[in-house]
Amino acid sequence: MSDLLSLARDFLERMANPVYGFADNQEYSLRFAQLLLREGFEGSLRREIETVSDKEALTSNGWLWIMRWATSRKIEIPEDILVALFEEWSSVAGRCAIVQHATDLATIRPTRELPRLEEFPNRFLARIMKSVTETDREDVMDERRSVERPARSAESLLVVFLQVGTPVTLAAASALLRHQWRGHDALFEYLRALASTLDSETRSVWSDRLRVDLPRE
Amino acid sequence: MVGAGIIRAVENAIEPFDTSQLARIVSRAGGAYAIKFVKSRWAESYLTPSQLKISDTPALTWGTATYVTPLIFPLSSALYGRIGLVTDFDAAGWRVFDATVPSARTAYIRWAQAQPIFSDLVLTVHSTQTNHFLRNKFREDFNIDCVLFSPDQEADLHTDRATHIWMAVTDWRTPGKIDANMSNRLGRARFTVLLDEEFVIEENGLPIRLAERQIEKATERIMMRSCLQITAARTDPALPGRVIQHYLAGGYLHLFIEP
Repeated sequence: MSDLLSLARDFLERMANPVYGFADNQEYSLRFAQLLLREGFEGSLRREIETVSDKEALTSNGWLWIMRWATSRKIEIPEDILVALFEEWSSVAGRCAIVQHATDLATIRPTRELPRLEEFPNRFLARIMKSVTETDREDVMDERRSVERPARSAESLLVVFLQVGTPVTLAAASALLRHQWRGHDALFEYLRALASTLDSETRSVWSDRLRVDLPRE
Repeated sequence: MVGAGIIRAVENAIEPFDTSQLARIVSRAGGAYAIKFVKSRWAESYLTPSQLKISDTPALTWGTATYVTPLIFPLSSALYGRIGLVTDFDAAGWRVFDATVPSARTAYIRWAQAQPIFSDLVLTVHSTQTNHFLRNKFREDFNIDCVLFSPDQEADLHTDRATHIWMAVTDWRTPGKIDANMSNRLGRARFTVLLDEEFVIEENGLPIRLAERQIEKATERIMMRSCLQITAARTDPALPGRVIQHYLAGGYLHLFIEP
């Protein structure tokens, strides 16, 4: 574990975890802002973030704060850390923050044909999609479980892509929906259920952006 | 990813500064000034004009922003500290979302309900982070520079939730991306007000709705009161005698910092 991040771990936790209350969060946030103004501190923090290899270096609240801060400073957190955190966290908002960080500068060339999952141009998004749709680690003896578990993971991934809502994540959502795998039908069913809670105009927007058919009324 | 009807409803709730309630408030106050109360330890940091810190913890009413009070309500946010930092600001061109108006709040709720993450908000334990995410996204998607809202918490006798208005001001790091560092828009804050009062704002980490005055509620019940300037008191050999005198008479002695 890196020296500076291990020292900062508890500090960032006090600053970012709402359990400590608004007053505590504010106090630590102001103190951290002062630290950042000290000569050399920001540079050291940047170097440690760019080379960190252990996701336990920070708490989840600390990572969330660092992710937003790093994005604002164009500092890249190593992809392996982002993938490990994405697989660990259940909070959709937290996972959105990871995808936002990982795709902050990513663009996608508009084409007539949307990219397929197997050849998706953004490596991070391709990795997390493959991780969800690969079923070889599932218990093949239990047919129902082998469909339901990956489908549920794919549902959460789909919501993250839709919620981030940038051209590259919407292209990823479309690739995920079109990918032929054992959870394909269940994922489409989930999308229809999700869309059924929306007003018809919003449902239309979803249909158009994802290039899928959803009931208009 | 929302329909045109929702976008229209939100846009209708956003006004340019010139025609907004904020412009009327600023005019009544005699200028565009805001105040933020902080803990005493920050007094020295703001002896000269400095930037306010943008608040970016998850449990905030409107997400990552600088939370201040228009100076027309000078003591409204006194529950957050004894030191009042005052700054001017230039709101020309701002897009103001007035959440004190019921139709604006309804527009936000319609927008939130149409978000893919909405079920996570209502069906999981992650609601604090999800709300924070949604509030930031809303302000980013609609380029909202300032949200006006009614206070969530009151300081006894200092805040009136029914009439007071607070501000959450956005700083942009790039167009459409909220900054979370130091505020440029509220960047000339100076220690201007010193208040002789303390409030307890949380109970076991949960915000208190009405924060009681900790000092004045006691002092107003004591009949014998007097005050002494602190610099004189420190070297006054008669000070112990005066304290004893107040103790025996059931009074209190207020040692104050002379302006």
